Amino acid sequence: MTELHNIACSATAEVPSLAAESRAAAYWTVVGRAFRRSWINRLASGWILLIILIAIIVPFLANGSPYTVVIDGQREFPLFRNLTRADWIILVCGSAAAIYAIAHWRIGKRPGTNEEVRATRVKWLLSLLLCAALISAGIWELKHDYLDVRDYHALAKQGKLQDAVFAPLRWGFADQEPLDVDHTFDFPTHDHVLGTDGNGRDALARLLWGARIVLGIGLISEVIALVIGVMYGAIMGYFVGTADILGMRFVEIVEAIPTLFLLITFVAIYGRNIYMLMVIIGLTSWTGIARFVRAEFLRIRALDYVTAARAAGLPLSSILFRHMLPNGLTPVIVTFTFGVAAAVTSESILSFLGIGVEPPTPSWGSMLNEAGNPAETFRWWLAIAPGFLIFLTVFAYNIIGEGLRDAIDPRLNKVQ
Amino acid sequence: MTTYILKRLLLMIPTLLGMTLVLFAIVRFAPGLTTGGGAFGAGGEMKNQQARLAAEKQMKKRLHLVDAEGHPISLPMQYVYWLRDTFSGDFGESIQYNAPVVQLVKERLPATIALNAMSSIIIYLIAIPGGMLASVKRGKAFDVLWGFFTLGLYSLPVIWVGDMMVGFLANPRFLPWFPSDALHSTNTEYLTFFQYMKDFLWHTVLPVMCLSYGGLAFLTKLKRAAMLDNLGLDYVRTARAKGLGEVTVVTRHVFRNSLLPMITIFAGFIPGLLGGSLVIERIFSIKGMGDLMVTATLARDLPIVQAVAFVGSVISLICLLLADICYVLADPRVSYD
Amino acid sequence: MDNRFTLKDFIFVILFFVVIASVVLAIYQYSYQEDRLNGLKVELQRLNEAQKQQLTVLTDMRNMLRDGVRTTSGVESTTQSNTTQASADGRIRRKNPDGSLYVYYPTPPKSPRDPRAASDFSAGDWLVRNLGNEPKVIAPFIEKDYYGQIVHDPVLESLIAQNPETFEYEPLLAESFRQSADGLKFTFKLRNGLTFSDGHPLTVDDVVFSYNTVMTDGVDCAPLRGYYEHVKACKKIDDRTVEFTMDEPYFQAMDFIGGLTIIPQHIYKFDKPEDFNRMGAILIGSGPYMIEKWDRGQQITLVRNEHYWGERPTFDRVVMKFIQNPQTAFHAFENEQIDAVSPDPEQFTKYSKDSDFTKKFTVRLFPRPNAGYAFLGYNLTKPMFKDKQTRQALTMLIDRKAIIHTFLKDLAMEITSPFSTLTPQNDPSIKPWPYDPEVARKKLADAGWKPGDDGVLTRDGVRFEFDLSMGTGNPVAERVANYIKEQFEKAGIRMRITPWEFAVFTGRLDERNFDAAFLSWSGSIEDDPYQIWHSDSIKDKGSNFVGFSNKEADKIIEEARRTLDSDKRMALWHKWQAIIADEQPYTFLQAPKDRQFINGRFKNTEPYKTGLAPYDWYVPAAQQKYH
Repeated sequence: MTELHNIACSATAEVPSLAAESRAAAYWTVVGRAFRRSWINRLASGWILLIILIAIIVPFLANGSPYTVVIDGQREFPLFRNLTRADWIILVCGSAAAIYAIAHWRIGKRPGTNEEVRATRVKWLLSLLLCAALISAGIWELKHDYLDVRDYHALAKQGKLQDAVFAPLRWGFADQEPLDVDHTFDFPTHDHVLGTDGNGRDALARLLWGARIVLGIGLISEVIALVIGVMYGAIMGYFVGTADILGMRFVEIVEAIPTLFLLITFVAIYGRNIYMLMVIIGLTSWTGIARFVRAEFLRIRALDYVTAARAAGLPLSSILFRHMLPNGLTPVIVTFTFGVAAAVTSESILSFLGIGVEPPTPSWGSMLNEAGNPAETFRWWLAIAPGFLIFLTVFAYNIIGEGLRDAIDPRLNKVQ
Repeated sequence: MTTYILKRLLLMIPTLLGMTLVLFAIVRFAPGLTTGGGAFGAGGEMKNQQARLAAEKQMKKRLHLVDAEGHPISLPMQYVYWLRDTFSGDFGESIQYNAPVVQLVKERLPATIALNAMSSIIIYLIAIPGGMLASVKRGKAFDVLWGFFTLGLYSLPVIWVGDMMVGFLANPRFLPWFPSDALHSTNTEYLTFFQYMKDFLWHTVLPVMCLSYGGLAFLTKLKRAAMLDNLGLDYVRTARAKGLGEVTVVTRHVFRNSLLPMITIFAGFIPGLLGGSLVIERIFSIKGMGDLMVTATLARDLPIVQAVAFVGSVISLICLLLADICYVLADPRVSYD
Repeated sequence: MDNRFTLKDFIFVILFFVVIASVVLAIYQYSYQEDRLNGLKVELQRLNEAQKQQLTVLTDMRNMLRDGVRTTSGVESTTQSNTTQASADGRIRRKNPDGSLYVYYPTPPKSPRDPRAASDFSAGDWLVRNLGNEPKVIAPFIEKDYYGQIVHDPVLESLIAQNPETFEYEPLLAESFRQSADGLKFTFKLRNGLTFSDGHPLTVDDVVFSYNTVMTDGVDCAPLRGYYEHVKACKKIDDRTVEFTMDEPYFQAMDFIGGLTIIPQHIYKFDKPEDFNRMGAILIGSGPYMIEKWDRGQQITLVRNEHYWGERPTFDRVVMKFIQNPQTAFHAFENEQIDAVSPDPEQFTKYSKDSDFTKKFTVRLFPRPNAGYAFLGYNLTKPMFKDKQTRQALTMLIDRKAIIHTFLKDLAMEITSPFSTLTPQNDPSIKPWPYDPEVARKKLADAGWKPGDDGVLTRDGVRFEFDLSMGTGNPVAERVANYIKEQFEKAGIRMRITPWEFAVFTGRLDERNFDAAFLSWSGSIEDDPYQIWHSDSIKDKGSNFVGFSNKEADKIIEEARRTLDSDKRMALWHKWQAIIADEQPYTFLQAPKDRQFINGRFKNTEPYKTGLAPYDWYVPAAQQKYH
């Protein structure tokens, strides 16, 4: 562990050069290796990867429309037709990520210097990003969400479907049991393995679809926080002096105002909408990152080699942003991971207060609220699963955060 | 050092003013205005809208949004009025309760303080020995497991734990061991003092448990780190060389010296606790500050919202400052000059 | 970092202080000026008002001089006719040939099922209720919520009361009342020997004071004051007679004039309206019970008013607890800590079928004409909701019976219009639109809606997509909205649910910033549709937020409001109801039913037509619990 620490220091203790960049790549390899050494870290990452996987392919796991069916003598593919723009875009981005993961691993196996490997990886990443962005934009522009008026459950009961191939779970997140028999808050049956909610919707299907919400809320809101925090912190750290003093006052102000009050007020202004919620949570949680980046910049610019480099004529901005920012920011990823966990918790608390995502969006927080709200009858079979999943996810993010912190700098472990 | 503290104190002033500006902006730009509840029936059904609009007009007058003749007052002037009232200690009257905000806060504050005080004591009582043991057995099974366990507790969503506690432990259908709401039984007027205290403590078991478990991880870690710092120092080696037993060294010397950061951190700990009690007050139907704040924000009872947010923010600011100053005072190695 | 306190910093600090100081100075300067200006304004206003007052005194004197003689003769004529038309108990209810109404009750009205007539009646015992929430204010007129009104119920009284079975107005504090033929004058004669609960006599001055309090601008009762908009004066005629004058006839005038609660002047006297607003915790009236104490956060205890001017009230004490959580309240009820509880739908369905439970406790399920109703309102200015064909189709797509059965556990009733189905205002021959998705789809096709490429109905380039605005915090309403969304989607209509906090939601309704709205109106026994349905109420943020405008309907409303004869008025209401049912500017969903579990020791607990009357309950001597 001490060895690792030395590497981390040495990576920052030399005048930046191409060699230093390759050191940075090696540094990441070392961090990754240290991180993977603990089985608990591997387990936590595995859980998050599983959630990501479910989030991508959930339309094919739990869906009310069949993959393929023959109705009135015509073969149709309702499930594919009913996929929304969001479904397609998530699929495209998911496949791009999968391709990159495979490519990353294969490139690592290839012979070649560190620089070459790194360059190939960057090329792959950029081209895949470009492709995914282009295709997503195309989908957004050209595709319209299809509204299917057919009720496949009813048709199946009437025997009008031939050759139907259904998804493993025949319920989507919004499919309700018909109202003629009361199917609300059903205890688990073999039709609904986890029971049904207050609308007669399948609880398991909603849990699976909820993976998207929990990922989206956590990651996207924290990315927003990260962008704001890094920019704000970098500006403060770069322009020391008055800008820094004023900037820090603003950070203090935002930190002092109770977060939940901010959240409630923002929700009131912009409405209960999943995308708005991401932005809002992001807007209220960037201060930690900003503080961190600022401190990092202040530390770096005080180091001897920076003074030396400036004396040699290099402009400070180039030193800070071109060479130091990428390395100086690595510890931010720890703050980021903890932030994701906090964002997931924030969403569940907002849902608990009745101002979470809009219905019928399947969020774990709102499912927990419906089943376990102390003012209503307690339905333990519906309350346990979503709460436990929130716990597992938050726990996994926290474990990853801890693991990364230990891997990056064992000394950080001591004081937060 | 004095310069540093002086500078921090001076910087408080612009922060405070900026904060009032931000608060004011948020509160005033949030749409909707309370009608004092008169516009809705028990089931949330809406009454005559004419009545509601009349009520709204009156509210605007009371909130200094319009002057006596009903002409709107400009935003900067509204800010000035609010600033003047707030800094002269006049937080206005709540619209929903027709009572001064100060009186409402006085009614609600004891419950929140009681809960938070109890849970802080419990956190410290568990975190200090836990952190000590973990540091002594550094790297051994206990250390790893304890760290893992507290991190798990930290990750447990409080709404889930609260729901489960109310649902399983305070529910006649399962185990009716604890009461599920408020801090008192319904018939307290016939109880003696000791019965009353017993009743009160019995009511606080679940909420205090919910409030405490999340803070364990952080404090345990802090204690452990402080212990480790001290264990590596010369005086420990000297003590050991003198022939003192390991137990004595740890409990007498290291323990005392590593207590300092735990105390200094307390100031920074308070705002977080106050925020955490909000959800718990909701789950256990406790009439505390958090409940007051959420209800007022949802109903747009502006005087309460402004006052509570303002006071809360000021407390946070002061705590942040105290934490910083304590840190400097307690650890001479940290230099700020 | 060089962080020393240099000269630069010093100058910075000094400058900073200068800025702060100037800001503070500016604030004080500004506010000082403002205060001075305000002071002047108030002074001017006061002078103005004093002048106005003098003027009214002069006019009054002139009027009195002019028709003083006529008033006395009127009183004489009524006393003569009393003797001829009195019934066995001396009560008179007479419509004079000139169209005026005269009612005289020598003794206060009894409840339809008088508990004192029962063989096992016994006064005593306590009644412990759960309010569900702490009232924020309990003072008369300025109460903020339904909970405050419940506390008022046994404490405050008014000149007249409505019979809970026949809906007729009966004199309570008044001994007799007279409504003039044109419906503009209301004369009340008080009973002898009325007292407030502190023993102080209740006089005409208190009536005038109560009216003046409501009308004082600045007293925090703007919603209430709105009803008295057309009541122009309240005049003391003699020591026992008081007269109210209106400036236009209105069929509900008797309801709110006679329903004015009478409060003691010697307690509530105030100089400035703010002084009255601050008396939020004071509640004293002439009713059968009076406030003993208010334990904040716990309960309000009422005690029998031993000075009550009428018959001795039944209970020694009435306790109202504030248990917020319905589950906790129910457990307290089961443990007999509270005597009555309003269960949630699931508790009701479960326990009302449990024979062990019903042996110990009484179960009551009853409709109430003033319970209000839930609806889906369509913004008629939006192109998709313009024609009534489409709106009828939308109604027919929603299975209202199934909503009542599944989501509301059969604890509600179907409705056809804003009128309660329990009162004669409702025309029973008008049936609710049937649930029939097939016919609805045909109707949509007839109205010109055709499915587009993406399955959504389209007409003239307008896609049938809209937002359903609703309030947050009501899980059952959210379930119903989810169900409606699914039903509409099956017909090719895309609906998004957008919940708003109520404070924001009502603001959006005011600005007409919505497509469709899902909420409920509170009801009254006889509904006046003017506020919600007349086209005058579209402007100025009125309650007609859907923008319903129909010339014929407007005319009927205007006519009915002037019609004092109830049979003629009902015929008009029925005509109007037929128009609304056909136009379907709302999809009328349901009216809730009330439910109550009551401890078995209470007798005489059957609900009246207007709902439960807990102060008519009693406990036979043998079963009494508290002494």
